[in-house]
Amino acid sequence: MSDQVTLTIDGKEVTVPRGTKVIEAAKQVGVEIPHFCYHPGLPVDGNCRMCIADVRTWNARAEKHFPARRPAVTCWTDAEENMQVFTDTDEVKKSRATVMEFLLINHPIDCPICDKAGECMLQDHYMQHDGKRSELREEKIHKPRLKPFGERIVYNGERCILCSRCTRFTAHVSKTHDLGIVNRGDRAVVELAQGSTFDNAYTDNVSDICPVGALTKTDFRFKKRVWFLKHTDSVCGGCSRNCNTVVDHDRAEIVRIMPRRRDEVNGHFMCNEGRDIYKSLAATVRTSAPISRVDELGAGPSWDDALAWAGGKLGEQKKGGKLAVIGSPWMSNEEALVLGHLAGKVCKSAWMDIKNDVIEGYPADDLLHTDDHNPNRAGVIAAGVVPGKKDGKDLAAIQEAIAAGEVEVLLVWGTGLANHYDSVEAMHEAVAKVPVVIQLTDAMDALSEVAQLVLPVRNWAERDGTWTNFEGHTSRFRKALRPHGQARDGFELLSAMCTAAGGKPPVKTFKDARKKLKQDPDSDVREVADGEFAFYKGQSLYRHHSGTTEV
Amino acid sequence: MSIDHSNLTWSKPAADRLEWLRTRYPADKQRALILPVLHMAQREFGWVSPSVIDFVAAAIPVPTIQVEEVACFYTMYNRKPIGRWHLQVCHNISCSLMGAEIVLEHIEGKLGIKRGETTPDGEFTLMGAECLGSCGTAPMMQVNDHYYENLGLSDVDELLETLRATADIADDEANVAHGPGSGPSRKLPQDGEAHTAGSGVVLPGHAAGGH
Ligand code: SF4
Ligand code: SF4
Ligand code: FES
Repeated sequence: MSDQVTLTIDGKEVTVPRGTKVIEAAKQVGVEIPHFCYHPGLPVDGNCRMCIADVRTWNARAEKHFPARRPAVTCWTDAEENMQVFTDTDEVKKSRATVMEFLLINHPIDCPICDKAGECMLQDHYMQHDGKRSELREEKIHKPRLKPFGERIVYNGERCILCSRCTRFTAHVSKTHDLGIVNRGDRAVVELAQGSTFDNAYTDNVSDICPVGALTKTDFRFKKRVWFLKHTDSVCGGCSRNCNTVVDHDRAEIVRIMPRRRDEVNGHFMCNEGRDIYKSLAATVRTSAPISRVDELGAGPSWDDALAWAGGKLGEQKKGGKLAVIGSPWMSNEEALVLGHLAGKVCKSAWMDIKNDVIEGYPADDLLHTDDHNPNRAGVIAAGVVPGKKDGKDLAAIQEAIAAGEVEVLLVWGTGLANHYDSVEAMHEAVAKVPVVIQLTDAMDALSEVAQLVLPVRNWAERDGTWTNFEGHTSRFRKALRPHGQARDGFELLSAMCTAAGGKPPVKTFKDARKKLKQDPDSDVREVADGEFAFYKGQSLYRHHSGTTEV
Repeated sequence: MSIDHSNLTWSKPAADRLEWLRTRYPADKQRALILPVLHMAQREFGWVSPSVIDFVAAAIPVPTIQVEEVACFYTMYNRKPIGRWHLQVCHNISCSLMGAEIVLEHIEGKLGIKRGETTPDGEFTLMGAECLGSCGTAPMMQVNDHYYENLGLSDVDELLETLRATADIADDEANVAHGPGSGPSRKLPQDGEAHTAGSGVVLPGHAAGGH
């Protein structure tokens, strides 16, 4: 028996591995079968019956297709050789409408005050597949509407369609067994297991995958109508997993962060810490223009003067070898490429390493979170900022050299140098021995209080770039927000510094950097399934359907 | 016979039966034990309290929520304490036609409680039930695991007296070890008579047992 099966879906032929569900096979030929309970990241349950289609199996002995006795659920049914699937016959359409009617019997239809409105599968399927007025003339069943599930999730039993996605998530993905469906018939509701506090690191995912507005996040409730949000592909920097995300923003500020499907990195999900990272981003202290503490420049130098001065100082070190460069695991691969070149080729620096910018965060677990709370250590090293590249002169050696007064110019990217000292004072005392400290940073920290020159760069939400995770998968993040003040793009700034130091940047454009790095940020290869939900064909609506922007 | 639920342990026969039950399901399907073990627990501890749910979950073992889901789904698990005698009067169609409502109201009056309630002395819990599968002998009620059929109001009176006078049932071992309906018929005193003597409630305008 071959491992592949070929079948037709609405007349379109498709070949898929044996065991593929019909609903998945259909996606491959661009046929979207409406569904609620099915989610590619969860075990199949087949309870909603929305995904029915007319499925005809091939009988080899009789040499004909068997007409189906009744419509089949395509999320349960395996694709078979020579199968015929019809997804839009009148009978199928009628069945769907009937399923919708049942689902809506007790649904409160409170879309105007529901946070899910605009990205709700029930709403969309109603518009597409039902569209009828309610036939119900009786009082609807009432259920709890404001039930906290832990601190981050609120449950509304009336909106719930009992698809069991959330309970399957806690049973099979987080394996915490927090949620279950209790009682029966029209009294059934999702309930928190007795004794559960629902405070694990992945709780918010249940809100994403809830096809309706039954599970809302305390962090997002009543904050913004989703149709006012702009969506930008991004990557989480919370740990070296690099979960692919979508940053939902309103030009000036990020309102929420949602996971984006990337099978080889994070699958469909992300952790709560990653979602909250926008808050710490918003809380950082920024500088909108260069700051200097040297007399030649004055307190607020122009970018041109600051660059010329910095380039001069770096250029002086070309031969002397008294330059130490400390990069950061928060740099993009492209920036690391240029910094590595500036340090190694342009300035021939002897000292080079990466510091540990963030040392606190969720502990590592066996789902997603890793124990490196910085995103791009692997990528920065691969791109050329190699710790102790020359004669093993790494961070420890740099610290020794600083203490011994051997370092003349210290170039630091980002924050957190103090993490490598016993205290902030100890760090201050050490760097006081260095005549020229230049810090390129997106946030002010203890070093910015004493550095001779602080150059503001854009943070991850304000620039384009790629990070490479601990397993070697590269993901691309894109500019979502307007840059703060005069903060400059790191890649472009470092390239300018190469020139100012009397050298040449390694590549001319960001695109060339991508080419040179020979990495494939797979996230660039985005299919329709990755974000554009095409319920309304021709209209490009970006939707967080099922939370992970899957179709 | 209220049982302390703060420190639950199986009786010896129950513990033995649990071990035997385990052997009946494949190792990866031990979840199937939830139903029989809950029944057993209910018999042992009187009702399925939150502590009993935790206890059963740990005994199998399965996540607590799975036991909760099952315990809430089936009405035969009592999620509230019940009296010594659990009276379930069928009021589905056949029994209704034969006067189940009259039986229910009669018992309510007699015991001074409404359906769903327990007498203050903890003797009786009265409930209405849907079809108990005994339509041919309507009206009927189930008392604990036992059927009483073709009930007349005087049968009911007599039965309630008998039950009240019957000694404690908790030490009946056969009862612990078997699920409802599967056990050997456990006879109450005069059970034989009480069982079939009646001929139904006489509805106005109908002859007794008139069909
Ligand atoms: S809360 Fe949402 S995900 Fe959970 S069962 Fe209800 S509708 Fe499904
Ligand atoms: S697991 Fe790591 S990368 Fe993923 S969301 Fe959490 S902090 Fe971000
Ligand atoms: S999606 Fe197939 S039954 Fe719900």
